[in-house]
Amino acid sequence: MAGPRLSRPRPVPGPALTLLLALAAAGPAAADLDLRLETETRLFTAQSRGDAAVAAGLRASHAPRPGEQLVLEAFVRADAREDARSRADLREAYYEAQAGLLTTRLGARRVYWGVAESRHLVDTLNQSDLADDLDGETKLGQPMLEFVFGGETTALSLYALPGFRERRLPGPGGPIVYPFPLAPEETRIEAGAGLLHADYAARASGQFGDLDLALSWFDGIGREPDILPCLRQGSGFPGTEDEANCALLESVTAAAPRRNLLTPLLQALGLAPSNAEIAAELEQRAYANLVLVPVYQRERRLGLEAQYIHEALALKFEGLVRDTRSARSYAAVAGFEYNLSGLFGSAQDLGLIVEALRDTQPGLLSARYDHEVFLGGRWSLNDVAGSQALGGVLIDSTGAGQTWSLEASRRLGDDWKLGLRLRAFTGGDPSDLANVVKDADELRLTLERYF
Amino acid sequence: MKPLPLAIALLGLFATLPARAETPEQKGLAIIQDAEKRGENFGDLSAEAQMLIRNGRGGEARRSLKIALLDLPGAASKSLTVVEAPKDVKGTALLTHTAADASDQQWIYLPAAGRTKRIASSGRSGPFMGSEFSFDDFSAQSTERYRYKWLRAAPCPAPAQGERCDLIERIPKESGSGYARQEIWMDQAQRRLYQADYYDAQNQRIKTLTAEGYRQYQGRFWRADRLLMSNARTGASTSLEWSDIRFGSGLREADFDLNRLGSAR
Repeated sequence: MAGPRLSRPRPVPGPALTLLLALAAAGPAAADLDLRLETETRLFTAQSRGDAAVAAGLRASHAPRPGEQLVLEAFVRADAREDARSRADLREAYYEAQAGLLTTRLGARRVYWGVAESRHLVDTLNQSDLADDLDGETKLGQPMLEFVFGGETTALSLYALPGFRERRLPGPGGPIVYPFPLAPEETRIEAGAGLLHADYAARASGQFGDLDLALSWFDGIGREPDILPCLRQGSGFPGTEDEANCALLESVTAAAPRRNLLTPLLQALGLAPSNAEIAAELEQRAYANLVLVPVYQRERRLGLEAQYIHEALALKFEGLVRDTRSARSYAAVAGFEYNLSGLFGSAQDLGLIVEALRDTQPGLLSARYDHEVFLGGRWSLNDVAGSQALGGVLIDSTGAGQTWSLEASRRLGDDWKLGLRLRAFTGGDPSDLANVVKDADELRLTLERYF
Repeated sequence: MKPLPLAIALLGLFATLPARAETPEQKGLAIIQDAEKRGENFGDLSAEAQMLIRNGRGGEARRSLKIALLDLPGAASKSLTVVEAPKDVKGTALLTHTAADASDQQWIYLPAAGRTKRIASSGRSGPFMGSEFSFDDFSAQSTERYRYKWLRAAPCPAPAQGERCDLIERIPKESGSGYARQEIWMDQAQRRLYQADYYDAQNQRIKTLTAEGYRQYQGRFWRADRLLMSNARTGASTSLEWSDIRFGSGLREADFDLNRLGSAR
């Protein structure tokens, strides 16, 4: 696959500047401004190293007229060790107008779809920032034009999504130790029309008594790349003159010296390297020139979300059919959350979460979800500090290991917030090169100040 | 039978409460219905609220909220509560739709995740933002969800000293409300709720709500300026002070549509 390559992601989508000017013109008195500062310490416990970062988030909104809104959300971070995390991003920058049943939004937005806890399967529109956190819950703003036709509890949303943002992957200094260097500059995107490219999506949602249903459709560049080992550009292997070559086997085979009728004789006399020597030399050369290349494919996906609530029990389902040029695949998350409220006569709540995951998509990354079970709990103390914790374990039933996670937070006073995240990977095959998360265990402490 | 958007119902904003009948049950219900009638058809209302939460051990925390209400025909109503402070949860929005048959639905929008979650009815007796008020207190409560009984007439409690009150027992028909029964005090002249005592199944008082600073709006609707919910067990209390109460600001039903919840702040 050698589709046209898009330029590097543009972190500042077009409408942002207009918005900034509009907000500036509105003046600080009229605009609603919120500032957040954060310090973060990360410890990669399996690698006995760590990292520190400071970050700031700014949100501004302004209503020029009733029913209209300008929203800007910017984020900037300086990271001591992982350069991939030191960057600024406009997470949201959009204009919204409400008229009758129609809501129109233009600009960079984040839109969330889904009901499940262990995997955000049908959530499609926004790219994930895995450099921020491997859980993929941090999203990059996606430029879009959105029309929502809403009823009381129903909605039909239509999206045109110009521009594509690549997934941000952890870089050197981050939690992942890649078996080969990551080559984001070699990224491949299968797309039709280059700069004029746009993705399209639609979603219909509604409530039928205690049942919530949503059906979504997407046609565009899949947000989740496959990460392929390829031979580096200029490595001397066939097909690497202009770009990396991901047809590994063919390229390496073609690089072997040509054989003729005399070859066996020369080899027998020791005048030519033996087959084993040739293979070993080639293998060594190939390994030394391997890089990891993110490859994005165009896909069409149809997603279904369902949630049925009966008293303290919520049944949840997310299902997906994806079609790419090469294959059709299916994925689903199904499970329940049972809420025990007023735990032990206190005000505390405990939600028990059980989910089963399946995914037939081949690929390095989706293997984490091919055949798993998630067991978890959500604990809310319902105290003044808003203390809460969400933890669980994702267990691969084919023996590829377990992912443990815990997220907890509480307020300190009215304006400070303390957060803890813990993630650990156990039981995977440590010799498997694809098991890039084996040493990615992480303990993260954050302290935020809100203004 | 009409539901009652009563005093505690929406923390006193929805309406207030009257009377003559044969049995104590009929009399109780008649008073509640009279109160409801007086509060009917207020159109829409918006207001701001400051909560002061005291944990009973010296700790204090503040909450700042914006509330919008829309009165619809019959029992139907809609309400939207948006959190202004604490800042880390600013933009969190709680939406309640109460249908004409008094059934209701509630959703919460969490801005950090950009997610809207439906709140199961079983989860609504829990505390709202660590306060002594529950999620249920933020929805209009219908008459049909309770059985009523007039207990006696008596002098009103402290904030309405010198006036005559009716003491009415109110029993939730369904379990899961976090208490077994309430005793509510309403003045006979205007049917305003001045106090509500919450009792558990062992008939121990668990909470007390008091309302004071009643003012009349639009020459018709009475609203209290201050509410205080005290927890008899823990000593904790939450006071709620209303400001900027405005009637008829032109809210429309579409402002309460589920798909606009994320735009509410």
